[in-house]
Amino acid sequence: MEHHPTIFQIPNFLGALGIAGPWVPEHVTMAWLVMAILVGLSYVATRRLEAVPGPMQNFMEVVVEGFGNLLEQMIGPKGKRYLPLIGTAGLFILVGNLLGSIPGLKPPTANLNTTAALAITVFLSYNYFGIREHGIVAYLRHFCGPILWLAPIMFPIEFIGHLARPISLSIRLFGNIFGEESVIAILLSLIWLVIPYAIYLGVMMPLSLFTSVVQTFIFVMLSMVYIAGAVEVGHEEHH
Amino acid sequence: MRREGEAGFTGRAMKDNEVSLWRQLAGLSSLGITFAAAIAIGAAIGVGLDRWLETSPWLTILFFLFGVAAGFANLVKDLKRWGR
Repeated sequence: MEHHPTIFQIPNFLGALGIAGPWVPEHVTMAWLVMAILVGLSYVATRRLEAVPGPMQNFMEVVVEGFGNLLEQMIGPKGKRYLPLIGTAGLFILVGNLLGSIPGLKPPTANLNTTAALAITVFLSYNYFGIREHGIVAYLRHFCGPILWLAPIMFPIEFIGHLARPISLSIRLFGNIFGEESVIAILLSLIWLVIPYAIYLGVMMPLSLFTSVVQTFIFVMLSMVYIAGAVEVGHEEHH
Repeated sequence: MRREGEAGFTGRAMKDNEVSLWRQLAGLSSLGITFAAAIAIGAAIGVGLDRWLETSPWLTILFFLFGVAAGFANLVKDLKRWGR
């Protein structure tokens, strides 16, 4: 499988940071492209806000409202507080995944570095939200379980269990998108056989659109579950 | 606020059973990876501590077991929450 470069590349101006090579790494360029797309869309949508929204503003309102409703259903009436984090992550992942369907571009989420950055951000955020909600002592006490003498055993177990979350978040997203990307690359390298082209258009294209949306959804859903778990720590004991 | 007839995946507020289905999908699809990741992290912490404190192989064994326990604890917790 040969390596297909993306359509545009940026000369490496980050040598001072220890990044080698003549070009900025592909996934970073693509991540910047996603950011540019999202910033552009947001700017166009909010440039002239009107009471009776135009098509662009309407679309964006629907998207933002969708995230907001989901948050309220998952976390409760306070859920809208977390809209900036969840909405940004969700839109970034969705647009990033969908870039894979455009020839010449690559999804930034097909690189473990990008997904790890997202997952670590979510991990640190939900712990911060938990600490902000309960105070650091109460939050850490929940790690130790209900029985005091079991705490030395419970704490490492809970701790490891929490550390496993960002790993599973990042590896799942990376694995799905990278795998799909690899299959498409192989199919396209065999394109002179004609049949792979039919498979690509008929099977992989719809499938990749489907995985893009589903993986975004799973990432967002799990992030919300984690935040809900951290914020509601105390409530579990009252039931 | 529900907008009927509007196209789009996130465009409408989803019904409760729809949300719980997706939440189940998200939760259950992460069972395997989380289980493996917990064991791997436990073992990694153990190896790291052993190198640092030069107590090989005891902390590796201990934290490997912690990792397995964490994996099973997560499994049971997730299944209780989503496996209905």
